[in-house]
Amino acid sequence: MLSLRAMLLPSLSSRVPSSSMAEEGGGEPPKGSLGWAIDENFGSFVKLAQKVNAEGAALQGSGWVWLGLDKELKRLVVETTANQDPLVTKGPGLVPLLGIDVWEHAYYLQYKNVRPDYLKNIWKVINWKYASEVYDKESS
Amino acid sequence: MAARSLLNRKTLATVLRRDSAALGATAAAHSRGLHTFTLPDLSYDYGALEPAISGEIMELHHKKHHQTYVTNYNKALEQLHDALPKGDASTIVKLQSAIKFNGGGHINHSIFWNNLAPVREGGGEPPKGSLGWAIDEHFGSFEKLVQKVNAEGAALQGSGWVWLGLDKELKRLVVETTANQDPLVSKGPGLVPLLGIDVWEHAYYLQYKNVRPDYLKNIWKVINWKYASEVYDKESS
Repeated sequence: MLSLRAMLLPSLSSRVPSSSMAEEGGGEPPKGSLGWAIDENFGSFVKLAQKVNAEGAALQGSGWVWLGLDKELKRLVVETTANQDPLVTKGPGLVPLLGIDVWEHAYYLQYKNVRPDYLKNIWKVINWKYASEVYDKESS
Repeated sequence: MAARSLLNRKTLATVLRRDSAALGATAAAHSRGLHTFTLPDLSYDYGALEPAISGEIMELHHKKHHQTYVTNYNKALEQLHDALPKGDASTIVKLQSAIKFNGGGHINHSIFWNNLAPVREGGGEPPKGSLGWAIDEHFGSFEKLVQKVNAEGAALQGSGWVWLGLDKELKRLVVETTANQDPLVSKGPGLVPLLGIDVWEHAYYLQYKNVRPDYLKNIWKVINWKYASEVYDKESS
């Protein structure tokens, strides 16, 4: 499967997000077909981020919040899964484009109990190029 | 039993020490006949459990995590209070998740603060008396109980709690785990929590990082067996 490392950034390290991250495309909103699909399914990119953040913040316990492609219904979905359940457990036709880990270990040392701040900031380093590649491949 | 710890210290002085917005909300809720839960005070300082549990963790755990459960529990109960006389079945059912999660969080953490004590107040001293004998009888020895609790706590997937409980019906001690903020009673109506150990990552991560087993190994140094024994004696009589 595709690794979490590849989903975030190609050169994931202990570096603090900086302009070099922006140069690699981290944080740049999606363009092309995925960008259009986001506007069509959620209204706007901002509305998508709000939905993901709301569901991620509300998740009880440990889990993940996902932007997925429903291959059968040919639409984008925002879903959550508990613990380490992969997205496919929410539906066999679901393909993960973007997953955000909301287990406490993903943010606690830096953001303490304030999961919403982690969610607000992680968008700055989301690799939409990767999500677009998966979307294009799986929606063809 | 646990109800004592939920309602203790709810004196007027305590209420006045909270911010005025909370006081206003409490007064308004009381005038509508709705009970408002409050964060119980700890009977020890945040740093009093060091080095087993850091003061930083204790403060965040109590002031932020537990307080949030209390706040959201009250919010959900108020919404339930409004929906019930309207017969709004859909809302009533929708609220159950928030009530279970936040109410469970309040219940569990209230027990947890009583389960801990500084060393100089007896924290870590193994149980004597009837609970000590019951532990030997049901688990073989105190060490075997600790091993079992630690093994189940370490193996718990995700967030949850590991409990030493009394099964009032079968008259025996049990080690159980619950997920997220499910209280022990969700594993069986006759189960009474004697000791609960929080294994959510927020309970140990700042100090122990990913090494939950080290947290479990160390927390026994500050377990308040006097409280567990009191509950056991009361519930097994």
